[in-house]
Amino acid sequence: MTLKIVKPGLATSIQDLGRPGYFHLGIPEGGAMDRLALRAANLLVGNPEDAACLEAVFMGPEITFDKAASVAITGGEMPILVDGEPKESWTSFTVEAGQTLSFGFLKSGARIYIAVSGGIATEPALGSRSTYPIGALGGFHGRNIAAGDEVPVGEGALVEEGRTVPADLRRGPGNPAELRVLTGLYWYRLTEKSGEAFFNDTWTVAPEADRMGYRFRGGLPMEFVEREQPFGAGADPSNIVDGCYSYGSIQVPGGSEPIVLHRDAVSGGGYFTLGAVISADMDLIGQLQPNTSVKFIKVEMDEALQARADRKALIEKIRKELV
Amino acid sequence: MLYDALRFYPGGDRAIEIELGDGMDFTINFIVHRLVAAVRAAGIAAIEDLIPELASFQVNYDPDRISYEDLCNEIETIYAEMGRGVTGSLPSRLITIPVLYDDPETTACIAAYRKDYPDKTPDPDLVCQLNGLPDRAALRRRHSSSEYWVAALGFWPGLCSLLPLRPEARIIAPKYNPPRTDTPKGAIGIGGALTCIYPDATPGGYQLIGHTPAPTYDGAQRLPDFQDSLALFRAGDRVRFLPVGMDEYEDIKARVAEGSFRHDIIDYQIFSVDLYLDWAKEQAQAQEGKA
Repeated sequence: MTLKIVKPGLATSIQDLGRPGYFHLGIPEGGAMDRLALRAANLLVGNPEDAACLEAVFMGPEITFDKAASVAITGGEMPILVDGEPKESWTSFTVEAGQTLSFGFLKSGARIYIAVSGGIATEPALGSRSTYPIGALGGFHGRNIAAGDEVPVGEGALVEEGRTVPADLRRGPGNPAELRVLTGLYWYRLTEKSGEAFFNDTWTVAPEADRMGYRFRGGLPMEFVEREQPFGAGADPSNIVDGCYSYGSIQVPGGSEPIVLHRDAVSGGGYFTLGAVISADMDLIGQLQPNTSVKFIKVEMDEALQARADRKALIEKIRKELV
Repeated sequence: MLYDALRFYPGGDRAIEIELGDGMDFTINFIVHRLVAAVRAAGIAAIEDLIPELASFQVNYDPDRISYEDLCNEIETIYAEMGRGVTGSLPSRLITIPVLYDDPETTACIAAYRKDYPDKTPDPDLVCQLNGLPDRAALRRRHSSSEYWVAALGFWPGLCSLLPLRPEARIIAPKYNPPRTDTPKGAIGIGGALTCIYPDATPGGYQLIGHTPAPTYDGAQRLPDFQDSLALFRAGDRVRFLPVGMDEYEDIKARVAEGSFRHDIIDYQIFSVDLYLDWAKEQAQAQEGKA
């Protein structure tokens, strides 16, 4: 079967769990910004957890189905309509052949995940269907979906309607959102006072927030430990000899506006990074809207690993509900 | 400067940043690549990716399979067993990249930036000023007078960081501030002590001096030289820039478009680090003698 894209939404892309292992070629892991939501959507319609879904940001697409399929929408809250009739989020429902799936205005969060039984079945690239437009990899011919596209879907059986993820197992960012950070990387470049200010300040999400990174404004400019810049690092104290950027690492060009690097981020560069958001909180960033208030919370490695274990336990609970 | 010991820093809970030294320097970079190769050869199952950089490298790992401390200890042990010093030989391909200096595409890109920032000195002129070069012709001669070492890959798919191997070919340049929002695919730029070739149209900050019509990244693997990899370069390759005129530049463009273009790659060569370092020292001494 195929999904006929009537309207694409704002920047709707095909995503799965990404393609780890190619950062050394400059190709990022990519994949869903909110992995928990993608896994839950797939489980709801009986797909493997890592099947490819549509990820829509801020605005939903309009899609006509040529065959009946089970569908589930997770992530942010956006009214769901099938031929104008409302449907519940985080809950499976059937779309019949010839019916059209559409969406109202976003109410909370930033991204929704649209899982279809059978999973999106475009050609994988380097082991993943995730769209990486910069490298023309994955997705629909290497790009986001556009009006008129006919997106292929694999073979899948219908599941019963009304399968649901209980409300207490759903996750979204609070307000202010709290992002836990492990300091490290080039943290030693900051003065002690400046390091403390980073965690004390309240930041807001800037409009420059996408799959590559989320920029934050509103905190104090950073102060750097004085040093003679090493050869090739450039004169600005926020510059370093080019180094790697890890997932979630927080770079601060010019020392003023931190950018948390996300799934499609570049693998390295010459800006200093002060640490990284812990892996358990990366999903939350994908659901942040511009102007949301954010506090960065300093944690240690054992807390980061505990949060990671808690996240895994949460996914296991969702699995138990649905499998 | 090479540090006395490795420095480990967490990059979140699934990456470690390992610094060997500081500065854009061939010797440190060579040791980075040796250590990365040794870590790869050790076959530690929890490692998901190894990313060499100029004076550091990053390990992406699965924290459910190995702890941060244990992985740091393993890498420290491998470094100790590897022995210090820079010696040995390694296979190193020599790839020739045709370049049209002061080409129309980067010239237009520089002009577009200067519409918003009129005080910005045009890139080739700025690079000449900062490196004591009398004119653009002298810049072209210096830039094409050396082989370059592929010190690192990454930032964007297929992007290479190139260090000149001839000491007197060293050219330094600051990066754009603020960065450009776009750069032509194939643009050749200088930032810090590095040359790069933009593999695609991307934002950027290096000072642009020329353009190559020969692709360095092919996501669709359309051209014959990209059958095995999407990226042309591997760390440890060497690159030579061959100045071409407009006619040849257009001819290469046409052959790329029709899919028949082949890169000039010599792949039977061995790069002796000992011989190279001796030679580089002599060159540097000779240059000091002149000055």
